[in-house]
Amino acid sequence: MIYSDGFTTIGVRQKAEKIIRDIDFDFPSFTIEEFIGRISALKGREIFMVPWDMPATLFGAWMSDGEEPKEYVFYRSNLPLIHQIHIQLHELAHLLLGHPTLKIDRKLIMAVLKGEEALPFSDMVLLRSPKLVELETEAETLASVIQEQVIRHDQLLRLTQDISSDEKLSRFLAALGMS
Amino acid sequence: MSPAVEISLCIIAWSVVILKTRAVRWKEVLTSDRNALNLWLSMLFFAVTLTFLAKVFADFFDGLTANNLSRLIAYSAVSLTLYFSVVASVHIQDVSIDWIMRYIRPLLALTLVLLILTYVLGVSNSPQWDNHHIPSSLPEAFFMFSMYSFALVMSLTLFVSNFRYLRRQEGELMRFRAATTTITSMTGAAYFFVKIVLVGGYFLPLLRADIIVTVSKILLLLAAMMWAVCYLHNRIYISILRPLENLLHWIALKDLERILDRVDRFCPPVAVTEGRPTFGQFFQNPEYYLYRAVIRVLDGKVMLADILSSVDERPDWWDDNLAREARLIAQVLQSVRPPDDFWETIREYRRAGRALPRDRKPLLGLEPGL
Repeated sequence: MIYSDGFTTIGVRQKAEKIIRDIDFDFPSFTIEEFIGRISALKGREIFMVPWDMPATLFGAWMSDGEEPKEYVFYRSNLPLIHQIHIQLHELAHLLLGHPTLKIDRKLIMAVLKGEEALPFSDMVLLRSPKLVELETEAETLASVIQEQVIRHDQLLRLTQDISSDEKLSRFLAALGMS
Repeated sequence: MSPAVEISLCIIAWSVVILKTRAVRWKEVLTSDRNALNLWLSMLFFAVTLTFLAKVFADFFDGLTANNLSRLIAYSAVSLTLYFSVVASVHIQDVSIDWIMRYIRPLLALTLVLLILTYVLGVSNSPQWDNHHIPSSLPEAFFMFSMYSFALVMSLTLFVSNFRYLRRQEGELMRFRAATTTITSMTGAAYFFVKIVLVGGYFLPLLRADIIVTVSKILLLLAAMMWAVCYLHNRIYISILRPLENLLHWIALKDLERILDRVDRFCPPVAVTEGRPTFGQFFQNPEYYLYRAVIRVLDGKVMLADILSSVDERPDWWDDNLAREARLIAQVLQSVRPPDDFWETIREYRRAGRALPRDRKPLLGLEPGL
């Protein structure tokens, strides 16, 4: 039975945790670049992270190349790094969850780069409704669970930073069976 | 002190020694990290001290050997305990060892010689020691004073070096450990100071007060228990630290939620609508909920900025007052230049949140149906 825990359904979280296990990534040494590389290798698709001047109230968007094995993640770049990474993770989460997205092609990309056309951001919302909330919840949950792992490891590192940086102390405590 | 308490302390002390003897990596200790041996010896001599101070054992031992010999062994053992503790401590803290060794080795030697001499010339002929706190003769007073004064100097040295070490630590775990050893050495110093006062009771009746004796017993109990805590594994320290930290994080979450209460009134959440976690939910997953709160603050900041910068985006239900309030909140949030570090980001937004004016009651019926 799926029931709400106030934040998200238990089933959504379990789905996110399963995906994370399947990715088999070393989250303690997480960098967004390495994570993208891992997903790219898993999916057999090249992933491009593109900082973009996004429309108002739109933070990021993922579009798939309909002709070549390429994925494009557009994101607002004039944001703090932690926010940028979250947006990128959110869009990558849509990819990992197999959500539907817009297909674009080389012709459109060339036209956009020349300034002749705009990216079809307004079509993104239409694509996912009326299931918008469910899909967004899944993507947001997966992105947050990924960061939860990273933060938890980072917290443990902070807790023990003096031990790890002080070799003498580290050896001393280990020799006495205290660490 | 009652036999039950004395025996319990002995059991604790020997348990620590036995457990640590099994846990210690002897190959490393005897080859590359001899300083760990100093601390192990300190542990061992402390257990010996408590054993020979326990009246039940002391009387039995003295009956087999010599009068009050248990007291000599106990006093010598506690001197060695403190000596090895100081040596281990200064080695770890990289304090220049030479000047300390120049003083404490001769001081230790002097103390042991004085103890032996006083024992031979006086204490061995005294009536059997019955754990009295006030000396019953001049040799006893000298005997006790020799040990207590050395012990006080060592405890104070430990206290000062541990306190300086504590101030240098940045990681919470080592701060916690250093705080524990600092408090232990401070308690030990206080104990030996009180014992010196009681020695003075031989000369001044005022210093024989029962309350002073009671204080000394409490300090001994505290010092012995704190001593055991100093040798706990890091895992146990972390298991105590994490809940304490999470309690602080809960308070941080509440601060962030105060910001969100204001922001949510003016713009919808991005992606999903979330409720507030209960205390129990938060404790199971504190990093997740803190992260979600931070992201929602960041989302809200951007959304509010987008809405305010475009007339087309502004909701119809915003009147002038709401628009003014929204601009104020946006201004406060925009004043934060969040660092890349997650925990620093939380700190910065909590600070900003305090700059927000006091929350007004929700405007019932005027919020959008989110």
